[in-house]
Amino acid sequence: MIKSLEQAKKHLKADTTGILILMIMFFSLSAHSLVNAIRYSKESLDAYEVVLVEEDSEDDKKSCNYYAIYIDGVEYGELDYNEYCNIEEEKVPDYLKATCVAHEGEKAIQCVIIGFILFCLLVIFMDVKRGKTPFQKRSVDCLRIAAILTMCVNIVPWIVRLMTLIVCLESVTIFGNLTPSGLFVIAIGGVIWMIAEIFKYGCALQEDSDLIA
Amino acid sequence: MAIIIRLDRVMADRKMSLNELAEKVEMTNVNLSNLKNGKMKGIRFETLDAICKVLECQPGDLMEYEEK
Repeated sequence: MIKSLEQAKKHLKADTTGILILMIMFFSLSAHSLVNAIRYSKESLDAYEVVLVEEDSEDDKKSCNYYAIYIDGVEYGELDYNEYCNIEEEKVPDYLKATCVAHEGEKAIQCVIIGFILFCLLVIFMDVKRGKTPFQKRSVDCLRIAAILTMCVNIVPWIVRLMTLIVCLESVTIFGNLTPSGLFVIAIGGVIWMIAEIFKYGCALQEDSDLIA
Repeated sequence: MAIIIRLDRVMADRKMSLNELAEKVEMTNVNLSNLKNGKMKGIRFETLDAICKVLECQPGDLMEYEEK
């Protein structure tokens, strides 16, 4: 039993280091996206244009053409053509700029949220590394926060994108539908919440076990 | 519970303080105090072995059964 405990401690060290590295990566990505958002917001409206990108396809029946946003002649990303068609012509440059800034803002917020989810996990791992039991109130709270943040990963950035478009275009039709991947992420949040409930039961068992000297 | 802990009696006989005993058996003061005051539900053989070794006593010296 002592051998398996030692092995578990080694794995714990590796896992803690891995989580720390991932957390730093996500916070760095968030900072990078934020810098991009600020950079794109400072660009003039003339820098933004919509270009039809034609891609060669082996199968002639399938068309791989798509509309992309170009910033200073460099492709930024694919344009949501359904949304674009609903924008008034005089507001198109503002819309393109707002889309790019909002997209970077979305990425930044998503990375920050994921960073905080990893931070919650790190707190649990650090407590266990210090010799404390994982079945304590703090771990339950961390898991619950991680569950709520997971559910917010898609929702909060969508709200930010909407607000950005409203601010830039003054009026906007609400776009966005709940995709299967969005539902999947919310379901994952629900699963983490269930795990927190299991840990809560574990806390009660731990309290009972602590009454044995 | 009908089991009564007589740890305080043995500690007094050996003139050992709670802190000293806690340090020697590698337990926290809080846990040992709870054990002494009968607030614990049970005791592991490991802990019982350590206490008997330090206090140089038998397990029977540490507890009594008194049916109420």
